[in-house]
Amino acid sequence: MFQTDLVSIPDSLIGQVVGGDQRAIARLATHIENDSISRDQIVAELFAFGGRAHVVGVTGPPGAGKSSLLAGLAKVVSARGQRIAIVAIDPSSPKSGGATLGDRIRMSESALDPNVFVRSLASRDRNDGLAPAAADLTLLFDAAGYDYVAIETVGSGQDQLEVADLVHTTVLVQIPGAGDSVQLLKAGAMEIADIYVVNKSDLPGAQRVSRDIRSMLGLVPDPDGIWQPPIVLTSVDDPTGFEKLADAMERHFAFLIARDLLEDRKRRMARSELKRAVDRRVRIGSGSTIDELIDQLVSRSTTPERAAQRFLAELVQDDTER
Amino acid sequence: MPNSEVPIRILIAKPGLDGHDRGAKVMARAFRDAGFEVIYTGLFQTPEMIANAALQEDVGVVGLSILSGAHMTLFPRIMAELHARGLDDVLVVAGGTIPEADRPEILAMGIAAIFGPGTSMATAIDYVRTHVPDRSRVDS
Repeated sequence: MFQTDLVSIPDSLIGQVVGGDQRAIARLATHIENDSISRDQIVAELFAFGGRAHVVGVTGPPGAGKSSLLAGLAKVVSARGQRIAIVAIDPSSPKSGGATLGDRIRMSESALDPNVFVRSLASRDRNDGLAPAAADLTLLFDAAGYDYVAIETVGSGQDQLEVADLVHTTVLVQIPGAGDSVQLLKAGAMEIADIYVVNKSDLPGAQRVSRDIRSMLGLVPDPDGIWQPPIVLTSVDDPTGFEKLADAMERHFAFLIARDLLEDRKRRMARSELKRAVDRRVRIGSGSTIDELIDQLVSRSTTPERAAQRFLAELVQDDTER
Repeated sequence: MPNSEVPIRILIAKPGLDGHDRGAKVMARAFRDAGFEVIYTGLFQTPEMIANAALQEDVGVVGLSILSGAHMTLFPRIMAELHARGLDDVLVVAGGTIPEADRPEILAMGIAAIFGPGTSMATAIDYVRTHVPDRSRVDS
């Protein structure tokens, strides 16, 4: 363990990132992830270069094959002459704070492909399927000129939907044999996907899962109108499934543009980024004030709402004094 | 301020044609339990793949586990690939079945430490913790 120091980011490093230099990208990713002082500066400098990549979220239960799916997709995207960055998130241990990040294991075939950049992230103090740096790393790869940025969430079940707020296109991965059609009727993750993938489609039952998803979708009107989420069957044995997934992603992005929905999504993403930045500010401000307010709450001399008001007021004051 | 302490990122790699991954997995688990973020790349990694993973993941440490006997062939190539990517500041350590006679040459390659069979996990973890480069600097 070591202290994060006060550092200043040289302009040349930002230039190297925008030029696509892998080492510069990797170094800046570390600074962002470690929340060093320079993080705010990095994000500010990168922000002007962002906004071009197609950002895709891939979520689904553990063992559904999200990493293998992204490996297959990366090969297709690269063969089409495009570049993809994969932000692969695995859980941190609540006990030690450590993590085993194993998503690269499935991506060996792309390990030397210059069009593919894989960065593994530990979820650290988040428990919503993401990592604290996920959104900022998306910006980093976007600014570095990647055509696609794919966020692979922690294997997650039914209600970890935050990824949908960070991306243009949400891909939900399901597999055969993981429950009956009632699972698909449940609220939550099943409702937010723009594309459904039935992975391991070489296993028995894949067609039934696909049919069940289709009939479930038939029951739900789409809030944005018109977009019929496609269901793509994929298997590591058959590259055509990954071709279809890449096509479906492109169609969805074109749909968002054609329907003027891209702005809506961008607003939703911006709202989520703003909320995250506020949360972060609030966390930074915690300390002695919090302890004092907790004392007052325990002794019932204030209410939670009043304590929150005072906390925020002091936060603002601290910021203006800084 | 934000994080005053951040986890150390370590790449644990199995170079070459060597299917014996028990040691690598045990070490991955031990480092995880010691609070490290362990990137495990799986079996049959070429020197280029290991160096590329170290580059993209920006790890402070690379741990090489080898039981195939090919260390004198693979280690110099791995060190050369790391060097070619400007990763000279990465701490490289090795573990596995490495004969005593080969050690001086391996250490001369720039591999910082060799943890043979019987090394306690605490020894390896303490060594890495003490010798990992400071990743908070911006130098390039």
